[in-house]
Amino acid sequence: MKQEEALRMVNISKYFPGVKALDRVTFTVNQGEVHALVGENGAGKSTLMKILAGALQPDEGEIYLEGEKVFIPTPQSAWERGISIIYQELNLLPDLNVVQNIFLGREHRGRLRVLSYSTMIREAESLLARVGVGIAPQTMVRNLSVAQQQQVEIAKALSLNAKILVMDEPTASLSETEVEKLFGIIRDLKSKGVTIVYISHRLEEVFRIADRVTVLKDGKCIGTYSIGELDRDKLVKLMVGRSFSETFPEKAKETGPMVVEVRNLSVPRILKNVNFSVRAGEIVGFFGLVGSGRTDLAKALFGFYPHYSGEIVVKGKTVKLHSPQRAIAEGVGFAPEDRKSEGLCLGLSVKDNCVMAVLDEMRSTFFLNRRRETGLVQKFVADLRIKTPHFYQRVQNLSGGNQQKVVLAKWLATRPDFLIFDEPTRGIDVGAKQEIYHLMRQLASQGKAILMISSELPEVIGMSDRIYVMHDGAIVREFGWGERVDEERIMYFAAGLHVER
Amino acid sequence: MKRVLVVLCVGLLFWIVLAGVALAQGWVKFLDSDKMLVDTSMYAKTPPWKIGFSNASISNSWRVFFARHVEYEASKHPEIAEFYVTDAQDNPTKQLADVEDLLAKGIDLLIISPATEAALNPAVEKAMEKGVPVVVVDRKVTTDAYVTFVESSNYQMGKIMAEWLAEKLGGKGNIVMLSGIAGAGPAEDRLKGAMDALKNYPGIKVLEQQYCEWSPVLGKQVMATLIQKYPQIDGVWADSALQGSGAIEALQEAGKPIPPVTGEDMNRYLKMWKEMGFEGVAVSFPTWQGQVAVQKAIDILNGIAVPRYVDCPRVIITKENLDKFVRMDLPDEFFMDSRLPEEWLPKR
Amino acid sequence: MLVALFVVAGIVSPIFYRPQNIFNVLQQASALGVVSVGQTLVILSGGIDLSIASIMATSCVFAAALMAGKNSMVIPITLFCLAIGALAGFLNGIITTRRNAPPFIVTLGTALIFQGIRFVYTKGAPFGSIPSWLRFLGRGGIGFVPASVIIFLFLALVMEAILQRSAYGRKIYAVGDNKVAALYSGINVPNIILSVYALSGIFAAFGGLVLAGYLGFGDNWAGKGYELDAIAAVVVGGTSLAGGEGGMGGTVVGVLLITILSNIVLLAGLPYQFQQIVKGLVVAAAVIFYSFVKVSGERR
Repeated sequence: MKQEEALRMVNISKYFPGVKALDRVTFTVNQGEVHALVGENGAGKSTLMKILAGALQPDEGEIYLEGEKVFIPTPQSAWERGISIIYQELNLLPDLNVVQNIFLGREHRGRLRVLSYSTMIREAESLLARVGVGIAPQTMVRNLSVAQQQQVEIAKALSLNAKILVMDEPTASLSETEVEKLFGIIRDLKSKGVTIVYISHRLEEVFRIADRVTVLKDGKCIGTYSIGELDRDKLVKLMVGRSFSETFPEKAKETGPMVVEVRNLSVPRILKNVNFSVRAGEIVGFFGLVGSGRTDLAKALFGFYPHYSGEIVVKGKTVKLHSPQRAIAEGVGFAPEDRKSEGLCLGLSVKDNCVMAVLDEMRSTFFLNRRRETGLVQKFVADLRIKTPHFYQRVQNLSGGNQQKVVLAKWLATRPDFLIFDEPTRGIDVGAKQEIYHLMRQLASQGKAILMISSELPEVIGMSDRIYVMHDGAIVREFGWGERVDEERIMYFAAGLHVER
Repeated sequence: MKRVLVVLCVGLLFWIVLAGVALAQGWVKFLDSDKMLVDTSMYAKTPPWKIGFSNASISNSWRVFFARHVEYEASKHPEIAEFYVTDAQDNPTKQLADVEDLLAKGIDLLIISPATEAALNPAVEKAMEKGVPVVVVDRKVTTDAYVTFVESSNYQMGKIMAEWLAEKLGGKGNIVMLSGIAGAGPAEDRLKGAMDALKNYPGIKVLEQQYCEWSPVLGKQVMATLIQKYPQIDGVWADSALQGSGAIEALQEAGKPIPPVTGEDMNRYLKMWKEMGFEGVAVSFPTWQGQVAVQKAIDILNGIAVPRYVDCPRVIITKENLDKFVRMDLPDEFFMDSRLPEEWLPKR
Repeated sequence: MLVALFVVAGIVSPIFYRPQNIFNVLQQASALGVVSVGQTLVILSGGIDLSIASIMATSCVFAAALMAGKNSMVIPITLFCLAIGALAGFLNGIITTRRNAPPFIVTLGTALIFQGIRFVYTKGAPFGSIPSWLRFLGRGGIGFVPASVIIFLFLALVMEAILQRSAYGRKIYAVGDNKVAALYSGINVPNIILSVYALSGIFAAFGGLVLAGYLGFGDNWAGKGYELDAIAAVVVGGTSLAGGEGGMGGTVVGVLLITILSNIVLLAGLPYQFQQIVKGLVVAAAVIFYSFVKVSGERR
């Protein structure tokens, strides 16, 4: 049976400053199929779908709907053409009820432009029935579970006469039974002729629900496969197999004493029984997909979750990390994921940022000791080779790599024993990346214990002496010293495939 | 969002229309009909009565004294079974709601001191339609729907002050005029009275007229600058002791003899006058007009005819009778043309 | 800008340069100046304080009532008034930080609370009087320099030193620039915010005392409009309403600028209300001016 083509995106390219997010990607979806779109973080899945939704414009390429060439300049025009996207972060307004949400911005109006509420309620009921769920149409969205909200989003998409429904990580926060229910709905929609594009990290789900799979990697389309052609290992290989040319500094030859030991660290609904340790002189890598709890772990170690349970031992002493101040006092430093909004005061100078975490130590009697301050900044600017015209330059005028070095300087000033780097090289160009890598290794060899969180597999493998893989708020696998490790194996655990076996 | 904007726009339009009505309606007709007596037999009722008093605010000491007079008089009449008082906090919208509440409580008569002139028209009209007679006091409404209006003429007050000042200066000299809030009814009426009076004294030159927002701080600041600007100031017309007392401070600090300054019956002005011994006059804006309003209200409920307009006579305090009014032991902001017994004065 | 205004002022009216007029201007600037110092701290930390005027009036009324003209009471009652200011500021700070509420609304609420407190206390008619020591603070002078302006400049200088040279000052800048990054740097953000509101409350109470001394009696509405004038002065002085940028030097200039403007308007014989228009124009001009400076600074 030759299937009708619903959507064809041809040679789509999209450039962001310094990055080629999509490189001549061609993506074809047939009428009435469930088509999975898979790839690593940053492979280009979201960008491709944003282009389809009209939220972004491609720099080159064409889009065909049912064989007809179209332009999608705005999200509205995407709806009009029957394309609906359900994002991972649901887009409902919590303080309106289900009906109001479904018909938001296109309410039915009767005579005199008065809202005809009863018509809308009736229609909402029939839409919800089509999705196969029994939600009272006048419930406030705030009172619905995530799964129910998702069902409302699907009903909303149906009310827009969606012919193509894109679901971005729909199962990320659903329970087992809710997932089953969602799959039921998807199969039902499929039987009614709706085409579904299904984006997911969870490969086992892809095998259960998808008809065909398209794999993206580094902004390129690797290929489209019918599900029968693939098995798990093959799919993982397609996703991560790459040739990369980055060079990483040599790994640690020996390690010192234990610096941090974490036992049964739990934070309700966020972290589950996390156990790990970091020794002086080693870089320990943490890998996990979005939502795996890797950043939450870092935050917990930095005192942002004061109500954690379990034990954190720093240099042989059990400590209570109830606040960032406490964590800093215990010798923990944390370079957060988002440099600009969390790591730096962009409007302040290089000097102010460098001494920010040690202001209280810079005092002699009441006032700050200027000589000590400038001495410190001078040292770090030289040691880390921060390129800035003068100390008083605003940090926002520095490049990404130099900004990251300022963050590093801020933490080195606290003379920490244990440093956490969350995505240390995000948004930094290749040359600066090398520098940051070498600085990290240098710090380790000076006896610091380093925990590095990254979603870039080559970076994790290239930099880490040991690797912990996280999934669903728990550590699912440790790759120890010298253990054979490759991207496929890490991805296998991170995607939760081990649970199936 | 859009809906909120629309509501805001409509609200704004509403306001503009109201303001327009207020400006367009002449209010002089009160004065034409002030001799007229209103037959109130239709409102006669056997006690006990329920009376509502909707006050604009008690945000300054004059209003506090005014409200006390109302409550004092009400307390003297056992026929009044319930006397409800509301405070609109200078907000006409709140006052509209206050009146609704009072009407809902089934009052037999409404005494209202409106927050602004035109905005309260619907409230008094509604009351009159329901057969609840309305006594308007202190500030007017622009509708005819009320039984009697009790006030003390601001126009006369300003006029008497100006006449005194001109006479004191022998009809010749340079004066400075300090008014209250630009656009506020009492301030404009007092200024108009003064200007009309000064027409008869061509030798009096008004150097400058400024609004000082009834603020002692501004009164002092403005006066201090004017003293620098004009080497010869022979007299100061101030429409209230609020900015007047500030101005006297400035004049005193300038180190020159204090010229004649007008004022009102506020104890602060009287005390300064007594201590510094300058030429002064105080024309009261009686706080007891509140008391008169209650008396008229009782007449109405007894079916006794009341005048359409009542002008409470102001007291003129001069050097001769100053000692009868000034009380050095009482707070600055007491109004001395008071009919309150000692125990009804605001106590700490 | 200040120099230009001095020149313009002279052209409008030569009276401006008279020592007595300058004395008057400086005296009138002082109360505004003192409260603007507090407002600068709050705005630098990324907040705003609209309760200043209410705290000033409350402090003024309490000073008159409790000192009752006795010099012996000046020091204890001054401390009492400052404590009330601190309490008001503390209230602002605690609600802003604990409930994460917008300071605009919180401080407005505090303003109403303290308005209520002083009306309940005075029954609408303030009483008492201001003793001569406090009067000296408000209207006295050393030679041709008003005592109050000396205090204002001293406070501004001390706070500027604290802002630039102390750990606490730097933390205020950090919190104002980026609360999250400050938190991630181990700065106790809620405490910093709490403290700037408390300081602003203390400065406002002190400003109320200066005004009480200037005026000579308790006034329920003393300081009316000062909260917005203080914000205007701070903004004209180049402190960013977004926080993290600016300083006391600019605020001193802003305060003088705004006071001189009122003076010129009167000397020029324009209606006093005209100064509101001029003030508005100056604030708008300042905002536009600083946005240009910022853009060109960024390009460097």
